[in-house]
Amino acid sequence: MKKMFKRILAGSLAAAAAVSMTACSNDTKTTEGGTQKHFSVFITGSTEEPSDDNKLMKKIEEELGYTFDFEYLVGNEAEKVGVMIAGGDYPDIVSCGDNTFVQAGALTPLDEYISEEKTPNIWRHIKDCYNKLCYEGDGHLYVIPAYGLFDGPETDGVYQGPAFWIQKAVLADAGYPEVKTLDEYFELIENYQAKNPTINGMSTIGFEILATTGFEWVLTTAPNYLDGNPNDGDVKVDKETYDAEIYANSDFAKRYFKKLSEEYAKGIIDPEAFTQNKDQYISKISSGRVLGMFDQHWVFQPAEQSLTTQQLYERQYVPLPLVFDEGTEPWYRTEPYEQVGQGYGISVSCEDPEAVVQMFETFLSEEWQKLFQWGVEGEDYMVDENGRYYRTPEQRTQQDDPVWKAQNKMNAFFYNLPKIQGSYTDGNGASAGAQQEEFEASLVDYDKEFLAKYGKKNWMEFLNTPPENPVYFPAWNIDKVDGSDADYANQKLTDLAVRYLPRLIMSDAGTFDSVWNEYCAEIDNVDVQAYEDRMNEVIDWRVENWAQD
Amino acid sequence: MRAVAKTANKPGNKKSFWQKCLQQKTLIFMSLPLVLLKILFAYVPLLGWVMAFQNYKPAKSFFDQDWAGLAKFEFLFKDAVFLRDIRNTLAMSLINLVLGFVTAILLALLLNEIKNVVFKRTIQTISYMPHFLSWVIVAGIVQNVLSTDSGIVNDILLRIGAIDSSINFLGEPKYFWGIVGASNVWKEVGWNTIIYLASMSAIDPSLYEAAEMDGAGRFNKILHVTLPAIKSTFIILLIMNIGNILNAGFEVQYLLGNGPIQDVSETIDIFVLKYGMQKNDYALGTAAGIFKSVISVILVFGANWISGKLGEDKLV
Repeated sequence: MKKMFKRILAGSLAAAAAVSMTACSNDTKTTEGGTQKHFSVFITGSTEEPSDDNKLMKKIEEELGYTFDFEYLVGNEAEKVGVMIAGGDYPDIVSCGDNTFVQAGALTPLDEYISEEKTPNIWRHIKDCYNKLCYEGDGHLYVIPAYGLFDGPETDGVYQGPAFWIQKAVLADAGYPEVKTLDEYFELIENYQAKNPTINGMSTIGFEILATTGFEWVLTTAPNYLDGNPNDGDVKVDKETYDAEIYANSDFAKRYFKKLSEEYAKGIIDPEAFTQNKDQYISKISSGRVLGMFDQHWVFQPAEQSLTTQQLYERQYVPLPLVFDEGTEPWYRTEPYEQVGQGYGISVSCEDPEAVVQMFETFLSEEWQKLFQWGVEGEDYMVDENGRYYRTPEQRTQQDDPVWKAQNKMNAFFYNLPKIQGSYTDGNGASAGAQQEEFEASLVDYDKEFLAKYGKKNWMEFLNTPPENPVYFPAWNIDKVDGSDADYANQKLTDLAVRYLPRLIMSDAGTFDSVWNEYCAEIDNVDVQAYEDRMNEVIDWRVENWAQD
Repeated sequence: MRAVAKTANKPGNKKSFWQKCLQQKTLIFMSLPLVLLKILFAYVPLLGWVMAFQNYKPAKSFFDQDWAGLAKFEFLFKDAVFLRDIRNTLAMSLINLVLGFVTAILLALLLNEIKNVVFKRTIQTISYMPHFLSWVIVAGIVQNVLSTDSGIVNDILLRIGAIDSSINFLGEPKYFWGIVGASNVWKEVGWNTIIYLASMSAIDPSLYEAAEMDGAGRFNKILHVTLPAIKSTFIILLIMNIGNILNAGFEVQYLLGNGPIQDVSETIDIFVLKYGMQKNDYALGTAAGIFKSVISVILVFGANWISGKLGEDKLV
């Protein structure tokens, strides 16, 4: 009996040891002939995940031999990245949104793998702005940007950036007016809401705001645009001297929040705006009852998608570049610029970084770009006698079907891959959205009529053509350096904003000023100087290093 | 317990420690995996505490780290936000502690008085079911129930005319601690009664009979028999819970909290997450964690010591 027991115990201990040993080793990568073909990828793209029988994934495996383990982001990106860094265990390829991974020493520099001979496609893609893409901390290249490197002019028909958005139905109801100022905008919304207290059986929400963790800027950055400044994040940069300062306590910020508090009192703004999370925000917009909001288009893209599926075209949105006073030149849309630091990085855990760079190189070829962006010729798009690409009506409908996309597109993975934007060498648009005639043909009747009323060809034309970007642009992506005084000041300013701005907006006319003064007094207690110094330091550095002669 | 342990420890003849070990080698061998587990998962991670005294950077090796002394702790205690978070943690903990004990004992007493077994079991099952829901789900339910937009609470209050317009329960700081307390009671009350019901079922029926002979009614029996009988269970649970007083919970505040009410909703755990994980200041996060653990250990031993002084059972 005793012996028997010992044997069982020994057996179970051995098993436990075996289990823990397997758990510790992460040596499951397959290497064939020195070139790694299987990669683990951390993905932050919020589009549909490819299914196991995905058409493109199969093609990649059959023709190139690459296979993947995808790890999708769930929840807060900064948190997930923080946990990854704390554990020190990275997938081979990681999605970077900023310099966090670089600072943690988690990325492999790519300089030695990229050259005109070794990677002609990548070289052609980035050679003009190589020095701009390098990390200012050590001058190495870590991430090839996924967005902002254009071949030819930007031809996209849909605008993805920041704007005040308004439902098409509101504009149609008011007789397709030109809307320029914030006051006009809210007047339209008020009138429409008074006429239509419910939409699809639910009470109408005049103006929606998102202020949840990670998206505080949706609430805080709007005044900067209304004042006629481009996307510089939390600072207003002087157009002449390039001097940056925060505008959280500025008069024009006060003006915006004063307007919001007046609208709140009129019942235009959703009372739950400040307590909701992003999912609730998206689901409210998807229901078609939200008349307008300030946001960047990519944030509520899933809601637009859902409205398309429900065929509620009149509940979709048009971007408006609003300003406080007529005469101010709006600067919402900017010239395309390199999204520095945003894209795939190769982690130090990757055994064969060169293989990954070579994979990016292959994927950046026009052949593979077309497969990712347009799809398979004859199946997902057609070519007419002039060599122009187009889609049949059925092919267009497919593009709106999430299930079909999961089986046939790899958008979540492609999101952070280096990509061709603008047009290919044969003159076709990089994607269907960038092919003007295809864009027009793919519009539903409601949209065709709507655009005709305004005399515009696409949604992008609702934004004015922007002036040339300043050299330093944009300030929003300036790295505050984790743990620095500037970083803490930034965190404190954000905390103060989400604490005070809702109170400010919900306050009545009598208490508005006292809450505002309290807010400004709290800002004065923050080390704003450290934050502004850091911003100015990098702006100066950029002016010196980025200027092209 | 103690009496049993003493007899087992009394060897017939005096043996050295090692002889005793040899004699009990099977027992030692059996307990070994558990001891190893404990060391691996409870003590080895403590090595990470050293981070709190460094300007920790993840990629560097231990010897390349830059030592910071007590700077991180200094930062913490000068930070009004951290002090505010300590207050919130203590407040919500106390609310949970008091509400948790009172409601659980009350419900247990009520259930104990029910004679119909089927009815009793049904109530018990229904009341402990929410324990198995995760906080994510409970937070979702709470958000729906309290929504200004057709939430049931606002709907009822409006219909009976108690209020004129919907109250934004989750947007106003004054309601938050109450909401957390109530959600905790809803979720845990049934589960917490189980241990009391168990100790009540162990009460010798002859005690009740004797009390009845002495003319005690229902309330007197509860007061003089049932409550004294569960006192030791209560004390032990109290000591254990006092150690947890700085763990006011994390999920519920994280999920229900939002900008306008962060003054009352942010706890130490959320602070750790915000600075440690989102801002990548692992040292600061660790320092806050150490502070929490040290206070917890002091509280447990304090409560234990007081309990001993009062002549009650001790945990350790």
